[in-house]
Amino acid sequence: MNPVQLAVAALITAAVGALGGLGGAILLVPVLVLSGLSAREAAPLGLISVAAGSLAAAPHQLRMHLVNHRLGVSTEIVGSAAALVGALASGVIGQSLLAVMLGVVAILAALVGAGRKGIRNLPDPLLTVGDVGEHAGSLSGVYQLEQHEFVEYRARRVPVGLLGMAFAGFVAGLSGVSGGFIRTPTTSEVMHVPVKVAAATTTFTVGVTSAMALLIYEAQGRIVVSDAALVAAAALVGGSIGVRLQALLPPPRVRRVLSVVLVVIGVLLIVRNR
Amino acid sequence: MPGLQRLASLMQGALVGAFLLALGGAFIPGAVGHASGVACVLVLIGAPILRVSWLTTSWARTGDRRFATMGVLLLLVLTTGAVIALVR
Repeated sequence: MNPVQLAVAALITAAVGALGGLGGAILLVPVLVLSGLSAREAAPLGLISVAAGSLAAAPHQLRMHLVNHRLGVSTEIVGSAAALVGALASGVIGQSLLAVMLGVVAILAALVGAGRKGIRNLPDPLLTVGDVGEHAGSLSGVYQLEQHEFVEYRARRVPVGLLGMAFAGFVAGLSGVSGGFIRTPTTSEVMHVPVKVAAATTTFTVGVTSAMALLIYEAQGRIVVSDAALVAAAALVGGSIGVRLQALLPPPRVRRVLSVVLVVIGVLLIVRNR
Repeated sequence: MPGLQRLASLMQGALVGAFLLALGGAFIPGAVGHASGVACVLVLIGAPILRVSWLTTSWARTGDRRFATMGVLLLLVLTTGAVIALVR
């Protein structure tokens, strides 16, 4: 893959990753491997893409109060701890079997998301723009659906959601991808957090996970700096585009885009590792 | 929530800095380009950790002790993970 192709791939995957709250690695790593790069070389570039996409999305998502940081930090404790266990256990499970498992999970998550119609959390006419944001001391908040429509939400089934985050962290540690494609559907469909808040919160947490992994890769000398810089520049642009697209699209459409992307990822993973 | 606006400005600064450093790392040849690329990677690593630290401090200041504790726990998990990985 030449530098222009690498930059284009990083830009597109980061944009889609930020749009759906997936993290770009789950898309970029298969593309790089299919183009001839080894998985060992592709993994750090995938994580650079995730970290850059997360940073690119941060200013806009913070200004729009889209991220529920309390939810993100709480779930990331479980996710990061499970990622550590997964990384230590990597080698026990065959990589092909793991990839097929990830593919099945991605397709199931897509079906759950696509099967739901309409918007679960309806606007409350009593809420105003002043209410937008997360609530102190709880896993709840208010987000802006349309210009004059505001929706209150509260994370539900938190223990089950934390199990999902632990699973996402574990497979992230095993496989070297960020696990965003499991985290966003878990937050949205299991914990009943609106899909835009779920995607934004996942974009924040995958940035934290990738930072820890990148520190390790940097210490191991596994990062090719010139390639990493090119991917970072492209993913910073792609992430900025993705987060603005997300703001323009209504939640059901974001969910449909997310479902299509998840099916593509799932089929790619299963076909490549049969 | 003016605090989050400050954090957004901080992240905007990190974003612009990382982008310029990334361009330097990708297009400037030699040691300067290499140093620029390494600095970009360090900004990408540091930004989310700075964000969690900032949030933890902010929650502690405003009396949200439960989530300030969560923030400290997350930072501990991240530190432990980095130490284990580097030692192994």
